[in-house]
Amino acid sequence: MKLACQSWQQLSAIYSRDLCRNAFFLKTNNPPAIGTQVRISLVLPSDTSVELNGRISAHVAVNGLQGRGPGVDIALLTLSHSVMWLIESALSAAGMTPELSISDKGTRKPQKQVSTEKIEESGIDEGAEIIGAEVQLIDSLSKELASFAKWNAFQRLNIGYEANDDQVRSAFGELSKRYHPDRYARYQSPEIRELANELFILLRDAYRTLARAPERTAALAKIKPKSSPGSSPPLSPGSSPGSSPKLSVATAAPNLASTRKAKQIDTKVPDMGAEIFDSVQQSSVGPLPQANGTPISAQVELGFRVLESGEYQNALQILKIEVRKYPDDIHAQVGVELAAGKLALVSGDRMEAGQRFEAALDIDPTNERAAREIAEMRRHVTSQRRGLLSKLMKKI
Amino acid sequence: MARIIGIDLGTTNSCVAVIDEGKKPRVLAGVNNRRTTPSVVAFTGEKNSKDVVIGQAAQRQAITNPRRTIIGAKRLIGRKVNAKDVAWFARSAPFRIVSAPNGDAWVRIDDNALSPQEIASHILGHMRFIAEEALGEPVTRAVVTVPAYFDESQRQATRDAGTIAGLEICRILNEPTAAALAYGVHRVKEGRRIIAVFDLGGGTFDVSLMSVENKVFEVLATNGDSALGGDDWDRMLIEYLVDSVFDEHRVDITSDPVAMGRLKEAAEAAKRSLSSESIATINLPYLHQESSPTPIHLDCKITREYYETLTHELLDRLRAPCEQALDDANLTKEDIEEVLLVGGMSRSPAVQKMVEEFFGQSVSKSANPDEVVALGAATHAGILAGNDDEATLIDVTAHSIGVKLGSGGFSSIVKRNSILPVREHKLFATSQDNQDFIEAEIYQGESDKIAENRLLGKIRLDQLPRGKAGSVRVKLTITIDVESLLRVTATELSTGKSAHVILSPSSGLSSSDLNKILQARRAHKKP
Repeated sequence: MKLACQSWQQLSAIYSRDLCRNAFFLKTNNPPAIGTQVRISLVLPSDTSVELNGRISAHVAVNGLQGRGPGVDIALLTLSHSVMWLIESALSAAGMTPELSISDKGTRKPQKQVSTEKIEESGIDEGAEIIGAEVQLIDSLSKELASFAKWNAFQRLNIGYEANDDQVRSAFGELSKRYHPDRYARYQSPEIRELANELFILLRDAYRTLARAPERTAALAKIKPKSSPGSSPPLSPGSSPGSSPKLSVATAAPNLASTRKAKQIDTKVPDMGAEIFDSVQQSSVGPLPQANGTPISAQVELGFRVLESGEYQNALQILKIEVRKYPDDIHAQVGVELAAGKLALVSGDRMEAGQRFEAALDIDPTNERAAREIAEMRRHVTSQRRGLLSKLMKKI
Repeated sequence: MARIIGIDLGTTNSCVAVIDEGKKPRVLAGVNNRRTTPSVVAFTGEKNSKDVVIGQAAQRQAITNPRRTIIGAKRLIGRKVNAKDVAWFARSAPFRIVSAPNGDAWVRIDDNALSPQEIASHILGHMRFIAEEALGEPVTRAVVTVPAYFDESQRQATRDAGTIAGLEICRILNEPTAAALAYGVHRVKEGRRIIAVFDLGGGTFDVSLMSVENKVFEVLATNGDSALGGDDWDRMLIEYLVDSVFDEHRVDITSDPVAMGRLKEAAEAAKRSLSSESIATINLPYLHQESSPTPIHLDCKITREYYETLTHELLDRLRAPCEQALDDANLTKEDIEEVLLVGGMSRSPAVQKMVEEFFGQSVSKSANPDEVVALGAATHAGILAGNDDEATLIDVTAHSIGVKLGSGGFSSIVKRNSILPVREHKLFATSQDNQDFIEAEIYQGESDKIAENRLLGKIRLDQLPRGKAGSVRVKLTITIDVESLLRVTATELSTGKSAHVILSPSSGLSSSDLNKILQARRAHKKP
């Protein structure tokens, strides 16, 4: 069976309540027999899915298992390190870890857990829970709105600067699925609808700016000169240099007050923030195929050497000229993305860098360098959160 | 969460649908398993009685009760009585159309003038009743469709009709969009498809160009004619029949409502049969007796060919909106991959031929044109209620919105076919020295001449700083959200002083009017 996880909060809840005890709870009124083999494909908010295998270990009565029943408890047979790692790093990227790591030092988290469980046990009216969830949603939407307002059109749509018409449109479509005000019509609070409106206006403006090639080029021309190393990242005028969009800003927004229906895992909402980690996973899973047959021209070769030597700006110039001369040279295209990505890394814009490296991998999925860069970024993130899993395990 | 129903409030027929557990929309059938209900409201009983019958029952008694049977109230909703097409409609309608104090088109039943909103509310109430019977649960919320080319006051009037019927209108949805939603949501599985929805209903014509990709429905452009529909085809035939009676007997039967009612019915039947037959017979014995020495019988034959010549000019009026929509969407006819026909009148072979010639391809007839709009409304209701977190609808404004200029011209701020929600602004300067206030009139429409557009409201900004003409600058910002709620802000740039207005387009009914109607409705229901 397939389960889609709507939000990072939900994933976090599943993680701390179930996965950490090597089990999984499913709400159902018609439980299959104990011992039945179950294969769960858990789709993370980032759209990555992980396979969990297990067998039903117990039937949970109504209100059993701290009020979560009725349903079945599944003992997971294996929980591979890679699966755990994926969930752990995705959660950390989504900004869920600060809360968890605080719990290691202080007592904040246990308290919190107790209080949520209390709500579940006593079955306090859903109304209170809904209001709480809506407050949370307002908070996260406000944060997202603040980030969106700082970003340029490319960043708002989460696309690389070389995106074509189709990529722009499909990026807008995917974001519309998440941010269109229709998605928020179900909530009581007018503030939520207001925020969704504002967010979507920013998205639609970005889409309108980038949907067609001439306007896109013009928009790019306004952004590009600023992205040299040391200078402020490509933001709209007026934003302070320190406010560069970080990976965590994009993903921190805990999506949709799905806490309201935490157990009803039947829908999914794509989460743009974790896409970088998707491709991390993909690229680290399969063996890297060898570079495809087309030969590398001397100029491009030179560009790569300059790139290797650390002169990213020069490398970018050389490779860009090549792309202009030979628009079909995929090596040059990849080079441009890599150089731009490196530049972005230097200037501290990790989101932009991730997008660039991803774009390079899109152009040439066999490119080892791009895969390496992304893997490097991944290590950087996970090293900050090393040992999270084991700490959590000890806690519970 | 309680369910939200989807209602297609048509000029001729209405239909209600709902999303079921399998996330598929289905039509809810009424009495005798009828899946659509005629949009007919009749007042029965003694004079000034408030007893109404709706749907089939109203249609059945229409011929014997023509002056108190309202057909096509949708043509009047949110309209002024002096509009050209309303006057046209009034001429052939068997019931009386009068002017409300504010110039709106109302209908007169006995001694009472009734707003079209109240008439439409009876139909919406009936659709609600059908849904409640079929679902076995109370229904309080609905998505109601209107022609894409409806303007703000027509939309607001439709909303008010819902309020009177005790329904919370969650969204006013465009009919062609609804049709594409219902048609494409389970069909377009892979890749991107560009669809033209050609929606010719009883009273309105819309054409919408949409792209469907990965469950995202994006309206690229929409255009149409909110006063062109199947009724006009009927009317051409009625006019012809009235003329031929006059030629033969020197009697004008337009003042005889019973005769006109019979003519309308016969014309409609002839139109239908001409969709499949090459000749239709109209036989109306004793059509008229009062002002004639001998009873007038009408017995004539109409060939399809003659009928098509008669209605040729209507067909021509369908082309320009299609051209304009293609132009606005930056598309050519060759880009259109599929043409979807919606609305009863699209069954006409002449219309189909015209569409096929225009788009250079055969049309898609697999959807039921009478039900597909309601199914789409239900699908969208599902999106709003949170039953479907994949399908997404990106809709546009059908009309430009802007301000009246000092010269009497019109300057648009939000262009038509802008993705909703939208926020746009424009700078304006004072036109006189030491002008201390600015008043902007907000209009909707496409014409450079302000008189041809519709006034939505005004915004006034006082206490402007003194200065020479043109030196004081005011920024006008217009925001439209997905509910079509229109907000206008005027800001003076040097002082930052601003004024805000939420323009609720007048549907013609004030909130106190609405309250009065609601109270009267409740009082009538109690006994």
